[in-house]
Amino acid sequence: MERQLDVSELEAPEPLERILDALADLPDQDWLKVHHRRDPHPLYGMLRNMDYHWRTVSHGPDSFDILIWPASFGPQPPDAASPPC
Amino acid sequence: MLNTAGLDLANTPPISLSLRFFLAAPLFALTAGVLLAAGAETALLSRWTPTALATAHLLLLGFITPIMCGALLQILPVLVGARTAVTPRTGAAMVMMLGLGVALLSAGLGLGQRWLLLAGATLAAGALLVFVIKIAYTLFTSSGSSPVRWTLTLAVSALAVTVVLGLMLVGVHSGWLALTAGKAWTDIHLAWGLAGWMGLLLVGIAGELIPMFYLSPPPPRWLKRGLPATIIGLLMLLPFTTLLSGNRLLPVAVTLGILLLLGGFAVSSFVRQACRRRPRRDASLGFWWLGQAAIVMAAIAWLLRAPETLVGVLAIVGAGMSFTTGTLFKIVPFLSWYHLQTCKMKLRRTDIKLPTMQGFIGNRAVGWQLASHSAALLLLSLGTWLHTPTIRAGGVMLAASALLLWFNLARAWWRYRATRRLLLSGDRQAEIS
Repeated sequence: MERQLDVSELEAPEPLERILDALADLPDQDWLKVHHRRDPHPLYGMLRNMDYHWRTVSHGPDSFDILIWPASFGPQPPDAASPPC
Repeated sequence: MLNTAGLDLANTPPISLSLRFFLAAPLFALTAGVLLAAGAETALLSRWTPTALATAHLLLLGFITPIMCGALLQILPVLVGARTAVTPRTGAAMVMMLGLGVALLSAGLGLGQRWLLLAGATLAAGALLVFVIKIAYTLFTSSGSSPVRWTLTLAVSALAVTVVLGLMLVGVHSGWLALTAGKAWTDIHLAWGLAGWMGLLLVGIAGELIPMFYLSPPPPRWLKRGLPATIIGLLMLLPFTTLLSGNRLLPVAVTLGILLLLGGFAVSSFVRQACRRRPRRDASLGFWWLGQAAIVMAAIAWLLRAPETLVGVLAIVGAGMSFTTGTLFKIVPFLSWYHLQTCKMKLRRTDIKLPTMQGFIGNRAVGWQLASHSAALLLLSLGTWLHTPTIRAGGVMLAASALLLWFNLARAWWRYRATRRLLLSGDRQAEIS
């Protein structure tokens, strides 16, 4: 199931903290969709260390969606219509 | 003890790389303060006195530039996702070369010793040109078309031009190069350094860091792209209008244009900061306000033909030092937190709570720093009119403020090291606030 998190109204480093907290509480079969106002480059190294995959979609200079899922799901982003089993 | 040698910190270089630049910088501001206090009788009689020249280089090359270089090394991965091609060994060599170079260069200017000036300029130019090449390589090989990449490319190009012009002036001073209109070339060197290198870098960094840390609206994209290009265009016109046109009004018009653009950016930054989405008391923002106000006051002072030394004090101590100190108080805590957080995740030390950003440098400490720096700026500005006692007091305050800054940075570094040791230790019950 997709969990959503909006960190676009938070100042650094709160967005990173909230994302890491959300990932720590994420149930096994779920993934996270984060809405951010910037492309969070520092997050990506952390995700790599934690065995997560991610995909970032830019909707403009101040709007980004980052889909984060465990590496165990495979390299392709999970689809809300057909969740990983 | 756990080994973190294989820790993937993605594109971010070790924090120690930048901290060497940051910890070296206050020592030059301290020296500048002592120099102003000791030579207060003549220091600011004109911008050409040996003390004024030495002090300006100590502050611009010894304080502002290393902080900007160190910040760029850490900020580039955060802003454009590119790893800087500067290794810790190269970084340490650059700090040594730049530090020694600035010390010799300033001594050469202060004492009128050509060989000191030459040795210092060669060392400092060598360090800065290596930096320019490394950063330019990083910027050109990074992907994406973010406006900040464009602004930083122009700022680093301006640094290269400033260094080359500086070397040219040292050549003239040493009698190796014959050049007419030496004062005009010095003005061009100064304009490229202040408006090109310092101004554009601050426009680029402020446009990203202030929205990131203070939640103010970002500058519009057209401003981020158009302003740096226009300033560089005007700076390129400056030598032609100054040396070739024969028209005295043209260089004044070009300089006025640059000042209006920077002043306009400062005013528009004030307006955006007033529209912060979550306004809260944060003393570090005071450095940005002070810097922005100093830019506007420097432009007004220049227009009103106030003493050149006042314009210099406002531009260097008021704008340059305020912006760089304000930047330090956000990026040092952020990077400390980020590096520790990465370490914590990798080691899975969920039992240890990391200090918050305020835990590295508290708001109260930043407030004292702001007060001492503002007092130094006020005293030195007044000193350009009231002379000796005020300049002496300003020099002492500048030195005290530099010492306080060094102490604040060293304390943050100590806190970082202590927490990192804890993360690497086997004591999983330990908890730090």
